Amino acid sequence: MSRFASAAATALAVRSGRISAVKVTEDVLDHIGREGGRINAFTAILADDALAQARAVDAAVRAGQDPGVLAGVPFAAKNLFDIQGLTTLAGSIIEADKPAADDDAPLVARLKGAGAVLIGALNMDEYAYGFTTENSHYGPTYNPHDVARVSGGSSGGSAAAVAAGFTALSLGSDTNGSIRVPASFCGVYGLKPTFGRLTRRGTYPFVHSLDHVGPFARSAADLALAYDVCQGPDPLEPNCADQPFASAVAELGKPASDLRVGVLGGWFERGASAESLLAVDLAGEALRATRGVILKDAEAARAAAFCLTGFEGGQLHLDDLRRRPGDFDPATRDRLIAGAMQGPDILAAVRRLRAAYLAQARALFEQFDVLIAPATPFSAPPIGEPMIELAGKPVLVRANAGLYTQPISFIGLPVIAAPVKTGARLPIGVQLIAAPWAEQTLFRAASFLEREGVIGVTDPVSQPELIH
Amino acid sequence: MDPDAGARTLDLVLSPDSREEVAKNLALLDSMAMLVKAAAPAEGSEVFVL
Repeated sequence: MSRFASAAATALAVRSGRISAVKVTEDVLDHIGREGGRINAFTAILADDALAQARAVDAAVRAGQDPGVLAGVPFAAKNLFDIQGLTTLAGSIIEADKPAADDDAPLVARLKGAGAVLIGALNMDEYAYGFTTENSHYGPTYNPHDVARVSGGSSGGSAAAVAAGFTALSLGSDTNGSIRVPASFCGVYGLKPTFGRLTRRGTYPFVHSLDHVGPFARSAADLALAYDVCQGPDPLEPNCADQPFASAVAELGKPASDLRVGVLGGWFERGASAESLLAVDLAGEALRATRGVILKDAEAARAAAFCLTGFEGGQLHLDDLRRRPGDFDPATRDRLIAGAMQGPDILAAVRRLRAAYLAQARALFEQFDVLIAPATPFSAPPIGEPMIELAGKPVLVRANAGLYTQPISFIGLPVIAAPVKTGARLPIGVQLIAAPWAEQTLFRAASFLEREGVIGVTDPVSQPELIH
Repeated sequence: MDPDAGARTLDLVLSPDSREEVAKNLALLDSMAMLVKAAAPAEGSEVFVL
């Protein structure tokens, strides 16, 4: 199979016995062995366990049993997901001293239960607090489309592993944009579902009020497959809503002509680069979208997410900030400290704004089924460059990469980040945004845009070896 | 907010480099907080239910 084979094609081939899961896994491990160091997406490779899983899948096929809808499909998980027998790092060295996880996180277990083969754990920003995956402990994850550039973050390893063809699927988390930003920079699909849709149990927390988890893939169909497997209640996780299963796969191929689509203006076009605006234009045109739709108070919502993140994140790590300040990445530490210093009085204002802003968004969804916004204001910046020029002005990369994602995750709306075929050398994505619990609508829109050739993954071109 | 006062309150020790960065981050958070307070309703629900 090609290293860029879809999850659907791999599962079909394995289920039919045309190729063994062991062969697929061996090829993946070989590919990572040859090229993995160039991208640095993984912090752990679980070769023995992966081959054992693959053998079990093949045994099920031979015995005439159902090996699962993702039979033999390689996947990996951001290293804040618990993986049995592995210490959950959350991108830190502080957590490296902790014991190994006793069990897989439920989402990891669900994918494995569907026959997918877990290849390893993936790099991320320390404690998920960043948009670049320039991790000072484990090294940066390089963008497969240009290894001189960042992969985005905090789920940078998750996006890069899929973009590079190491795995067909991966898992990541998104508090302020950590699925959508790396999906945009690496040119892959990412789903940030409705807040509370997928269980977060067995993942290292960052901001309880904002944390989401979701999959990455190289097509809308693969994203749907992974999402459908991940869905389901979790009585052991109070934040996981008891929502009925709503198949995303069933939405693929349905017409989109009746969808009412709007392109967000105002805050969501201010400061955007030309390529970012082009991506939105192409998607909007294909969906015959109404332009200039205003989601009021988006800037304040972004500011509220910023404050809430600092406060909850800072409080979460306060003991380690006192005991082991030297073991943090300085950039993470100083933001966490500042966040913890905020007075609790800001929380009441944040909560009132969140409720009012959600009501405004709900009112917009009376008129529209899907809203479109840029995923990032720019394409992937160079590694090690704190600033990027935007509209002729230098701006901070870390502070600005999430300009357009933060106002959306603040109120938990479901989003597919999709790579738009702009013709530019570097990938860039858009956010397709729906009302709470309306993920199915997003898959209908993404599937349509993919059929129209507006969105889709471009395989990375061969890159010269990078000397680390 | 003064970073030294904040550090004392939280029982944290700041290195000189850290102090400068914390001060910058506090200034950014202060500007964000002003935006939030200006936009948030003076009263109303604080309940977030999807």
